[in-house]
Amino acid sequence: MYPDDFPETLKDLLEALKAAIAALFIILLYEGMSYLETWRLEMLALLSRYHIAAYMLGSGNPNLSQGDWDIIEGYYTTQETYLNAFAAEMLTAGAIVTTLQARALMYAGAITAPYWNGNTPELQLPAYPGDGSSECLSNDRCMWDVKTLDAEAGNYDAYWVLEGVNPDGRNCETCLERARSWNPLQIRNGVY
Amino acid sequence: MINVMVPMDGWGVWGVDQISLPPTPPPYWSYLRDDVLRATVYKEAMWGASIGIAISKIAAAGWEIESESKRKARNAQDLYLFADGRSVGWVSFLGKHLRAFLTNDNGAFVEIIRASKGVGSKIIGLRHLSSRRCQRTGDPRVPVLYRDFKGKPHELKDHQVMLFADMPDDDETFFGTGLCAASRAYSAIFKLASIEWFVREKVSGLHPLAIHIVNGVLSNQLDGAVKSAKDQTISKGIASYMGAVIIGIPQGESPGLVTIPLAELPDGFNRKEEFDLSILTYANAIGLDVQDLQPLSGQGLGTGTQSLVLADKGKGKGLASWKQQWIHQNNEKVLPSATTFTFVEKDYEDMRKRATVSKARAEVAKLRIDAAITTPAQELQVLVDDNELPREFLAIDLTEGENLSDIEKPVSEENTTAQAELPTPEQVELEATQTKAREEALLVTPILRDEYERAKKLFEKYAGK
Repeated sequence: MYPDDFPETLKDLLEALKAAIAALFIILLYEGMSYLETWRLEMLALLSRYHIAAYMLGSGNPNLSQGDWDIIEGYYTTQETYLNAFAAEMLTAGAIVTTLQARALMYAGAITAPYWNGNTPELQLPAYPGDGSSECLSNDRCMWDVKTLDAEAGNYDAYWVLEGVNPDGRNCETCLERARSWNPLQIRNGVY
Repeated sequence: MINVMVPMDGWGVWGVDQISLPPTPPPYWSYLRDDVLRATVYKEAMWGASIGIAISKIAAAGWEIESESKRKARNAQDLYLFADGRSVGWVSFLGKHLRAFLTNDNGAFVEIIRASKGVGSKIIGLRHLSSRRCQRTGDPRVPVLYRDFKGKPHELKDHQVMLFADMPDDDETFFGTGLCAASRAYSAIFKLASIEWFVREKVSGLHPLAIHIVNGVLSNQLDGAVKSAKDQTISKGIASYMGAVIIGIPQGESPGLVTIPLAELPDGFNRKEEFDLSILTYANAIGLDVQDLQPLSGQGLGTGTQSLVLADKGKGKGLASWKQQWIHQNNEKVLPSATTFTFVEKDYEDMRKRATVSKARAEVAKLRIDAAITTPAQELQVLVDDNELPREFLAIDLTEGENLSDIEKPVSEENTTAQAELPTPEQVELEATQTKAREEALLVTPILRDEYERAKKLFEKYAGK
């Protein structure tokens, strides 16, 4: 479930990445442990590619500055650490089971954070959906809705929009709290 | 039965006893068809020679780079002189290129090698690409897919390749595939190859050309006679002997002979006439003057006047089409602004005709000035506009709108086609160093840098939705 105004491009990108991760995991299940290292490398390539693409789509610009790269690298490195730990766990366990696919698919959701970060380049918002700062981690489907009041003066009202029209318990506590307190998050002179 | 043949001595394994061309080439169009068309130069000697003559003719012709900048002209000259690399050069490059153009429906392909992949990147070389390895895609942005020696496909974008085809098919599903000279002349090639092969068989006696049935004689008697005759001819230094099957039938009647011809030329067959017709077809298909292929003998090919007419007409045929394609594509895709490639016609007849026209123009100008219709300055302007005199002769250009022919470029146009000037080796090296430095300066995890291009493609895919 996505919020009504959730960007279609991000939705499509998320679905494409999920499909790619699912396919890769099926190969891992079929090939077994001997494929684990290849799977890890393929996953890292996928994640890096989609993190960059998500940021580009968020900002609407494929040309990246060093500052943009730093932001993307920050998000990517976090996921790389998680993925290495995940691969190490499977290696230690000596087996790959189908139930692990759900965990693998969670990596797809991680690209929402660079998307929203790229989407609001002029602002340094306190959190971004999917950045892992809430209990729902990368499953977060909330979004920022930023209203520009006076761009030159740096005045914005930023709303944290929850997943679904009528939140009914699917949202984590942190997201509910954010929706309450950041309704809107007032940014004045570039400071909130 | 006695089959008298010259022993093969092992050379039959090279297929001397067959015409190794099919009566018609494979259907249009397939790579297989081009394989057959390319092979024609090996299978019919006169056709092979004709292609060789056509290539030599163009290779021997001169070309010029015209530019307002000496540096641009010099760089462009180097680009063509060292086409296919310094160790190969223009003549060899052109030989491969023209042979591909004349004997492949798929046409000829030239890669424009740039310092980097970008559209505006500097051009550092030209390279002939084997037609067999090039696939036309029909995509204007990526018109060619090239397969390297290992079979790996490489996309060649529009700014990285020039495509040439003779008589391109108008059906868009063929993506510009043409009908090359070998295709157009194929029936003549096959016919001449067959005639020549027949004559070769006839003089070499490799096959039975007739069956002679002789009565009143035993086969072993004939065998002995033939062997004896053969020994005598060989002793005289004659290697070939005859091509006939002789059957002896023992009968009491007086000896008689019945001959069944197996391979004889039809009544009224004139080999010279057929040969001349084939030569004419070759000349027409390639776009050469028939005299280029066969010196005027006064028979069959017409008179000297006729030959002059043919020479004039020949300028509008196949090779003329190639020349125009070459000039247009190179001027647009390879050369920088106000720099053009032209072939130099070292034809005194052309020069004489041009001089006649110039003289007539000058006389008309004089008449108009004498009649006080125009002033000398105005006539100067007219002659410059007609390319009779150089533009530098004008102090002020009164008719700024230029008349540009298909092989000219605007004099002072800015570089609007994103074609950069041709770089010097130092510039190429500098750019490579700067690119490397930029990459090293970009502090980012290598895997992110490696995935950038793929990510950009994803961006283009989803952003366009």
